Order: sequence, then structure tokens, then C-alpha cells
Amino acid sequence: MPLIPSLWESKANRSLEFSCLRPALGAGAGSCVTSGGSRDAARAGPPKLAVCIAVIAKENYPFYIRSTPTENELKFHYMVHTSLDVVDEKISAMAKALVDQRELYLDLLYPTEDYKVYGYVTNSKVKFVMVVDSSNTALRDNEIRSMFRKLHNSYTDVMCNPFYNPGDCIQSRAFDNMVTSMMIQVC
Amino acid sequence: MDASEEPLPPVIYTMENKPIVTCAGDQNLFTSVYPTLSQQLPREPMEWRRSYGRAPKMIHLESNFVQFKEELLPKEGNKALLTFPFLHIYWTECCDTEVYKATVKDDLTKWQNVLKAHSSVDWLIVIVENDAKKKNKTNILPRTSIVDKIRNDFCNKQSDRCVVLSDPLKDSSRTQESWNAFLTKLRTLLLMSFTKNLGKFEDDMRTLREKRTEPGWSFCEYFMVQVSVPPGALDCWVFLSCLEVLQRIEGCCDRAQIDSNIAHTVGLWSYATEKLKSLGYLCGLVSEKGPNSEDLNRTVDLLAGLGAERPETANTAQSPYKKLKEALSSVEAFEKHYLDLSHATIEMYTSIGRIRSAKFVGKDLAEFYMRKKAPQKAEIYLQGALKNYLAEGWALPITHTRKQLAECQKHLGQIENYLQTSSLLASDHHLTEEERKHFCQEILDFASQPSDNPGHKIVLPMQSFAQLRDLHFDPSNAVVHVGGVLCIEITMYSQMPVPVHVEQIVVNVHFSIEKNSYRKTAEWLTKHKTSNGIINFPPETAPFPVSQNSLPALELYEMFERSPSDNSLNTTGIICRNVHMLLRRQESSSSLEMPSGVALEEGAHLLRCSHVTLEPGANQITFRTQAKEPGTYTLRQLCASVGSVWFVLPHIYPIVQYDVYSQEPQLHVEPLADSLLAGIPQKVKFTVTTGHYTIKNGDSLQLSNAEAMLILCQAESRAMVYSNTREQSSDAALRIQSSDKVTSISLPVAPAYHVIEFELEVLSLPSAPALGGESDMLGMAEPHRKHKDKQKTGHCMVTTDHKVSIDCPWSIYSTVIALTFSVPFRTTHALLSSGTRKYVQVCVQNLSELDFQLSDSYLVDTSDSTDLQLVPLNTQSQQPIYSKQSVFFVWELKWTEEPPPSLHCRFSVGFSPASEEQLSISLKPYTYEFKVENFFTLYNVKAEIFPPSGMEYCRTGSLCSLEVLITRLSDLLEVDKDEALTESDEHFSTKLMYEVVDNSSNWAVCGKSCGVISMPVAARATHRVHMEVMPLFAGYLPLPDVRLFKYLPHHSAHSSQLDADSWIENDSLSVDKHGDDQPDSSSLKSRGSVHSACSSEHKGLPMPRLQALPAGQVFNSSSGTQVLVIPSQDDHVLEVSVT
Repeated sequence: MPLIPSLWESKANRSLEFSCLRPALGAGAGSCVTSGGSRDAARAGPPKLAVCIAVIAKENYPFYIRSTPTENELKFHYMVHTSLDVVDEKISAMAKALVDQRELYLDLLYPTEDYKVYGYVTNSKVKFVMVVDSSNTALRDNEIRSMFRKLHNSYTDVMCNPFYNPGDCIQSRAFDNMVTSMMIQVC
Repeated sequence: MDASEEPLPPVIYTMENKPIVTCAGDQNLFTSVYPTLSQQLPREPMEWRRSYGRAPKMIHLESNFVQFKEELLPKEGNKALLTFPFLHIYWTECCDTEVYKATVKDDLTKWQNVLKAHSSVDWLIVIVENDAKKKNKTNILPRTSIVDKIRNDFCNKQSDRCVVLSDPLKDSSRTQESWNAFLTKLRTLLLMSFTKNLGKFEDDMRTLREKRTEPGWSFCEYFMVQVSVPPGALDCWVFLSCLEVLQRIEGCCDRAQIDSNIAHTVGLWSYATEKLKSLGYLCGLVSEKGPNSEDLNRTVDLLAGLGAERPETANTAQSPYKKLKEALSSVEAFEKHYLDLSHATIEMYTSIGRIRSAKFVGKDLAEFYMRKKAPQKAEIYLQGALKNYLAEGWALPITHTRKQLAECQKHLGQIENYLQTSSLLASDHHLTEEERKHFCQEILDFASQPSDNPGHKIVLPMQSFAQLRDLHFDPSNAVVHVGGVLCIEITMYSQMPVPVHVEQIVVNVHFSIEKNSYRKTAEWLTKHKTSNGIINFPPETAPFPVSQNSLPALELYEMFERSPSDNSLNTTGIICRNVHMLLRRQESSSSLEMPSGVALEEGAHLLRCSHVTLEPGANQITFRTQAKEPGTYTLRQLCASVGSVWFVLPHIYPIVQYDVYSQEPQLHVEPLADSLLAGIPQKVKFTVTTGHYTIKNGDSLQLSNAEAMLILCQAESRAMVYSNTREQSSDAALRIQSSDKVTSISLPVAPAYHVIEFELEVLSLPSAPALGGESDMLGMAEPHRKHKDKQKTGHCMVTTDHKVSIDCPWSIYSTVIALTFSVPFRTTHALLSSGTRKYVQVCVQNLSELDFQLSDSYLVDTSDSTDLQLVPLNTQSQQPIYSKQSVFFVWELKWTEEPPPSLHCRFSVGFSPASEEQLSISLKPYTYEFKVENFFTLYNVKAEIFPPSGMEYCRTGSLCSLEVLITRLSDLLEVDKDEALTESDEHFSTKLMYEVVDNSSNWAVCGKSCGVISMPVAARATHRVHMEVMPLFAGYLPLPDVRLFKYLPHHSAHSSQLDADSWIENDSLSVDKHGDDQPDSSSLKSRGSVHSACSSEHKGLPMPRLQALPAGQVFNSSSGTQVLVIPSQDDHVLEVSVT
């Protein structure tokens, strides 16, 4: 009878080695969404939260996007951008619901090999997208929801700033700090 | 599948993916029964009742038996149900109670606990009975007891979870029976668990949860193999798993279902594509050359690791296994499979509207094509993706894709596109300095290449190369005269990372002539165009998408077009200044990657600046031009040439224009103050706009003198000479020569497009006195001049126009200039009486804003009658008259003989502005002529009120008597000779009407208030009228008025035409007119009462006419007297009426 090794062990080995094979972006032919090389290094750190947080305008351009600096930023940009497909789908499905029954939280948009992408949409169709490491099983639906709510509140504060020009990129320190608090603390 | 193979009518499926069953307990026992078990299990088909109303299927169950391990159990929160065991079997042959108690029970308990901890409820305990074993032992208990014990200990209420297998290895009917029962149980349980877990799996599939981490249930088999080649093997596993799940789904759904579930399955397609791609890269299948030996070794390892295909699918034509094997076998096969998968994925994404995902897969495909050195195929995917990112403004993906596109375009030899992309990348701040320099160098390298076709230009949009930030004109109003020099300074912000030498920078200028528009006249341009000369250009909003929602805001402006002559409003409206931005087509704005058809405009007018080095960042560039043709010049395009590469800004927006004007020489004469005052020296400003004419030495203005206007020559006159822009100025002496008819002003020498300004003093001589006649109540002086006089109503000053004809050196025609002078004073006169003594009062009112000093007032009788004397009662010879104030002068009229019926007077007074101490010239006095008629008093009217007899005072409410005494003061005079005069026996009498009116309603007149009397025309003739009046109030009350009218007999011509009402109207008008100078003018009410009284008498009869006696002829000697009225006793009654 062959023995089956733990799934996680083998995945860890794989991704470490695979990261060596992945061509870098600088070479001009890098595949961006395949796998995260530094994932395992981050596992040892403090409790993980989001790895990428994005605020996207109604017109789908990014107001704000930030990812953990250790990782390939471009990858997350592509990932968040692609997730807008699912956001759009969910919003249009939601449009049929009554206004007061509308849920702002869009749930899991899609999982990738290493990440889970969650979505949230405000009433003014501003989207929040959050990428979470899929190995982070500690993060439950409720935590994700509350993170989105916090994000939404902070975003509302930004909008309330009379010096903020609607449509501009968000450059608020308070918002930045809030996002930082939700992201993985890199040691 | 082969088409020739005949279809199986009752479809019975075998399991391609075997569910895992774990085995615990006695491993040797299990090994012994395993061959039979694995052989027997699939033999009988089972009916599989499926969830969601799907039709039941008959299937053959198979299992993959593995040894039990705790790690195999699904972890908390991990919903990967299918990857893990469906059934857990515990095998035991124990038949000894002691052994059971000692070890088996303990082991079972542990096993159960592990299962419980993972909430696994699918388990089975198998007790194998062995007759041989039983025989060996003597002290065996009945077998049932051990089964019962186990059931008792573990099965609780599920007694069916414990089965007995008797002598499994024997070949007896009992064994067969036992096997059948066991297998049925096993199948049932397996199917139950399978159905349950598959249901959960399907639910998960629907919500897309964990879809990629839960492939089919046969992965473990492959997984075992993969350990040897870790990264590739995992990819193989994922690929196969995805395809197997997809195939399975396809197997149990029809086309419509599959289509409707694309949203849920497309993720797996994409995942499989991705994995195949990485396998391809790993095995060197994605390259021009093909795999090298190392790649081949790796491929062989991988394929070997896959092992043999499962027998169930071995004979099908297509299986995921075969697909993978084939794909890895050759470069061509890989390409085919990879393209198939990619295209299928893109198509699926597109069909459900996930355009972004489709573009992303397309980009992978483009990368593949680039590796395969097929850039022509890659281009469309890169363009597609880039367009998408640009439209939504994702900077990083834009940069990344653009970089890929640059490489693609370079390989394709699309020079223009490549250069444009390079310029975009060179200005892209998301790239490193090195990368930007690289792309910039690419452009410069190309530009420096000697071209085979020297005239050939590569035209690229300027935006990415440099941006126009601002523009500044010098002169700042962007208006220049013909021949003048205009400087245009622009700020260009270079986006390049290195300094770039630019051969020339050219501004293409559009020239237009708008001769008819007054806005383009020199006057308008030099006066009205007052901008600060700096035009700012909005920065490019590069990172944001030019989407339909971010159109520029409407720039609306109010527009007023005024007439140039009198500044009155001609048209008004609202202008949208950026219509061209709003109305342009949307498509054209987005694609910057395409050669956007930037066309170089060929124009005759160019501003050029050669050999400029643009440093990174802001650069100042100055253009100089000499203005030639008059008109409007619009800056249209900005081009910068670097070798054969031309960067062009096709439209300069906001619109930048400058105007060149040519101007005719002109002369303007205007008063320095708001209005010119007659009689005193006033300053007039002369403005000579030289225009294109140059003032030479000896050029002069010839003014033909107007009769009543003097040009006062001063010793020192200076003229200021300005340039048209008012920037430079100088001053020069002015020479003025005056002769009888002509005043000559020699102008200082001035170049073209300059302005000469100087001031002259002029004096409008006071008009000759006016003759005040019967209608002199308004007392307006009426200058009898040949000039047109304007007399406006109200307190406006009387004006006089003087026309001056001026000959200018530049024209053969004379310029006629009209100057309007206002008379600062208004004069009125009045005749005052005291009994028979007469006074003339003259009121001079200053209407101007200036204060004056009046002096030497005279009133003379122009008829020069000797017996008439005008005695002034004015003491001061000098008197100030302030602005908007009046001064009164009074003379007493004295005569010795009979006074003349009328008197012609001339009033004159000297005046000078109070502010000026000394005037260079003596000023003429102000005069006013008027006529006074009928000034001699004919009648004296005296009224008296007496209290009722026996009372000392008048009381309110009690009747008092009013005595009116009318006395004739003179004998018959010339003025008496009119219609009312009747003669009988040498005695003359005239008819008078008296009327008692109380305007203040103090008195109630009882009985008739008016009456006609016949008055003898003789001195001291007296008429007495008695009336009753009642005081209405207590206190000192003024007497009611007594008025006297001449009562003229009716005139046939009048009476036949006028009815009673119009007579009243007519009469009241005459009363109004003649009674105006009475101290208190009659109110409508009192007049109405008079006429209604009179009209009632004369109703239906020809009406006589009333004529008020001229004010001078009647003297009321009781005017101003008052009578004391005391309140009556019962005056305290207060009347209150309640309605």
C-alpha cells in the first residue's frame, strides 16, 4: 500500500524549487501569476492578513493599490484587474436584488493556486479587492468582512476630506496606515 | 472514441477515478483478502441514485484501498472532501475475548476516536471468521459474542456497521454467501458516502469554492508518482485533475448545462492551460530551438512518473492522460494542445463577458508566440490587452504590456509603432532609469541613422516625448502692429530621461483675416485685450482612462458683444470653449499605440527655433517673429524634429492666438471731465494715434475756430508721446499759434504706432440772454445760437454744441469734432407783492458739480422807461454758490407814473469757479432775460371771521360768520380791457367770481362757497360777501382761502363744442396753469367742489369761462392770519362705531 504524504509538505517543497524556475519580469517574458516564491518565508512571520489591498473606481481604474513589498507588485495588479470580471458579474447579479437587501460584501471572487481574492462593493460602485494567502486558514469570512468594513469606513473618511478631489488617487496617510495594519507585517 | 464502436445500450459506467478506502487493523488479514476483494467489488453493478433529480445510473464500483493514516483525514476547515477517503474499514480476525480486550478493543477505540475527531462517519468494521483458526483454539467463545461485543462497544445503534466475513479464502457456498453479503454492504456504504460527498463537491463547484484545490479522486495515484519530479509532477497532477474533473462534468451534463456553467468551469480550463504552459516551459517545448538534452531528460522523468495509464481509460481515444503525454512528446504537439486549450479558455471567458480574464490568457498566449518567434501572432493579443488596460487606467499592467509590445513591434519591424511605444516607455516612470534610457536611446539611434530617403519623416505624437506646459507672449496682450516684433516663450517639459538635441522646433501658425469684425480693429485690440499673456496648458491625465465618464467639464463663458461706437450691447450668449474636446469621437482618443494619423500641417507661417537641447524636465524656448500682414494668427501645431523623427503636437489647446494690426492715423478729442461747462475754461484732451503714419517735423493740426468757442493758448503746453503698448513715453513741447480763423498746433515728431496726447483749454462763451416771456415760469435761458440746443426735462443742464473742424496732416479731409458744453445755471424769476408794492425775485440754481463765486449782479429794464426804478435789496457784491444750491436776488420795483403793463428785464451776474484763484482771462457774465406782465395790484381781498354773536371766541361746531371784502385799488387801466368789462353810463364794471376754499379742511363752508359779483372798475370800489363757516377743530386755525377769478361771458365758439365735463377739464387746466405761483396750490378736491357747484348751476346752458387773475393783480391782505377756535363743551363725546 503506498503511503500518502502530507499535501502541505510537498507543496512547500515544490514552490521553493519552482520559484527558481520562474523567469523574472525584467527578462520580459515572466509569467506573473504562477506562484509566489516568498510565500513560505512569510509563513514564519506574524499573523498574516491581506497581501494586497486595492480600491478601484466605478470606472475600474485603481484609486489605490498596495501589496506586500516582498512580492511581485505587477502580479497583484494583474490579479486584481482580472478579478474585476467576477466583481462585475456579481454586481450585475446583485443589481436585481432590492436596494436595502443588497450585500456590499461580494464574498470570495476566485481562488488562485496561492491566493484567495475577496471583493466588496460600495453603493457608489467603488470596489475593494483584497488578496489573501490561501494558506491562511485562520482568516474566516467574518474577519474578511470586518476588514472590508474597516476599509470602507476609512475610505469614507478620505472622501469626506474637503481637500480630496473626487476621482484622484488616494494619498491619505490615515488610509495608508489602515491598509498597512491589514497587511502582512514583513519582518 | 471510435465512431465504429457500437454504443452500449444499457450504459454501465466504470469508475475512472477510484474512491479511496482506508484499511485499519490487521494489515496481513487485509492483504490476504485484497485480491478477492478488488476483483469482486466491481463485479456487480449498483444503482446510483443521484441528487438534483438526475436519472439513476448503474455503475460498477471500484476502490483504491490504502492503509489508514490520520493524515489522510480531511483537516478542519479544509473542504477537500473528495481527495480523501470515502470509507474507513477496520479489519480484524479476533475471536478471542482476551485478545479483544487486551489489544483489539483498544486499537478500535483509537481508530474510532481519530475518525470522530475528523467527524468522519463513513466507517465499517469487518470481522473475518476463520474456521481453521477457530478449530485451533479450544476455549473459544461463540463467535457471535465477539461480534456482539464489538457492536455493543462501537456500533451503538448502527449494527450494520459491523459485518462478518466467513472464511473468505475458502471456496465454499458459505464463503460465497458471506462475500456477497459483505460486498453488497461495502458497495452500499461506499455509494452512500460517495453520493454524499459528491453532492458536497458539486455544491462547492457551484460556488466556485476551492475548485482548484479539489480535483478528482484519483489524484492520489498520480501524486505518488510525482514525488520523484516535484515541480513538473505537481503541474501534471493539477493539469490531469482539472481535465478529469472537466471531463467528468462533461460526461454527466448536456451541452446546454455545460454552457450555462461556464462561469464555474472556466477557472479549471484556465488553470489547466496555465499548468500546461508551465510544463511546456519546463520541458523546453516553448522555444525556437526545441528542447535540449536536459529538457528531454526532464520530460522523460515526468512521463515515466506518470506511470501507465489506468486500464479504465487506456482504450479510450482521448483521455487527460493521453493528452498530457502527447503534449509533452513533441514541440508541435505541445503547441497544438496549448493553443487548443488557450483558445478554448479565451473563447469561454469571452462568451461569459470576462474580458479581462480573456485578455490575460491572451497575454500568456502572446508570450508563447514571442518565444516561438512569431511576433505577428503575438501582436494582436498584446494590443488587445493593452487597450483594455489603457481604457481602465492600470498603470503597471500598461507598462508591462507595452514593454512586451515594444519587443514585438521591434521584431515585426514596425518602425513607427516601435518608436512610438519606445517614446511612451522612455517617459514611463514605472520603469527603471536604465530601461527608460534604453528606450530613449532606441529612438535617438534610429533618428541618427542616415536615411536612404532623405525627405522621409517619421511623425510621432509629441505627448510622450515632451509636453507643452505654458506659453507667454511679449507684448503680453499678444497684439502687435505691423512691423512690430513679437516674442513667444514656451515651456516644454521633456519626458525623456536624457538630454535630447532637437534640430528644430516649429510652430505652425494659421493666418486669418477678419476684417469685418470690430474685435479685430486696432482700437479694440489695444484696449480690450488685457490678458497677462501667460497661457497654461492642462497637463496630460496620463494614468487615468479617457473613459466616457471622465470627459472634460464644459467650459462655458458668457459672451457680450458690444457696439464699438457707443458700447451698447449687440449680442449676448453663452459660448462653450471646449466643444472640440467634448464632441470628438471616443475611439480616436484611446489608442495611443497606433500611429494616430498625426498629420503635419503645411503652412506658410511658421515660427522656428533651431538647435535646441531639451533637458529632462522644463525647458524654455523663445520664438521671435516680426509681424507682417495684419490679421489673426492661431498657433496650431508644435513639432520637434530629431533627425528623421518628428514629434508633433497636432492641436494646441487652449487656443493660442496673436493679432497683428494695422491702424489708420486718428485723432480723438474728448473732454477731460465728464462734461464741459460753458462759460469757464475747460480742458479737452487731444489724442493722436499715429497708426502707420509717421509724424514729421512741421506736421500740425489746423483748427478752424468756432464763433463762440475760444481756444485758450497757454505759454507752456507739453505733449506726451507713447508707444502703442504704453510701455515707453516721452514728452515734447507743443507749439500753438492762433490767428483769427485758425489755430495751428504743431505736433511733436513721433514714429508710427505711437500715441500723442495733449490737453487744450477751451472756453465756450456764455450764450446771449434769453427773452423770458409769458411762458418764463421754468425760467430757462434759451441761447439764441445757431447751434442746436438740447433742453432736457428735469434738472438737466442746458447744453450747447460747438463744432470744430480740424485738418490733420495725414488726410485731405477735415475732421469735424463736436464738443458739448453745459450751462451750469438755471434761473427762475418771480414777482412778489406787498399791497401795491412790487418786488422781482431772481433765483439762480447751480446744477453743476462745481462751486462758483457770483459777483456783480444786475437787473436792468431793457425798455429803459424813465419812471421805473429797480432798487436792489441785495447787499453782498460777492456771493458763493455751491454745487446743487440756489441763490436768490431781490429788487423792488418803483414807479412814479402809471406802471407799464409789462416789464422787460435782463439779469446778469458775473461768475467764476470758486476753486480757482486767478483766471488768466476775464469771463463774461451770465445773463438771463425775462418779462413780467400785469404786475400792478388791482384788487385787495380781505377775509375776517367773527365768532357767533354774544361769544368771545369761535367754538368748534358752532357757526361763525366769514366776511370777505374785495376792494378795487385803481381806476380803469389798460389791462382791464377785456371781455368781462361792461360799460353802462360811463361806469365800467367787470364780473368777478370769488370762491372760498379750505384746503386743510379746518372749516366747513355752509351754503354757497362761491359767487359771481359785478365789480365797478373804480378806485375804492368795494364788495362785501358774507358767509357762514363752521370750525371743525379747536386751536389757531388759518382762514380759508378766498380766490378771485375773472368771469368771462361764454363764447359761442366754445360752448357749442364743449360739454360740461370738458369745460371743467379745460378750465381746471387753465386754473392750474395760472394758479401755480400761488403760495399753496389748490388741491384737486377743493377744485372739484367749486366746479361741481358751478356746473350744477349752469347745466345745459352755454358755459361762461373762468380766468384766474394774474398773481400780481390780486393781493390777499389777510393771508397768514389765524383765528382762535376753542373746543365746545360736549366735545368729549367719543363716537365708537362697531361693525
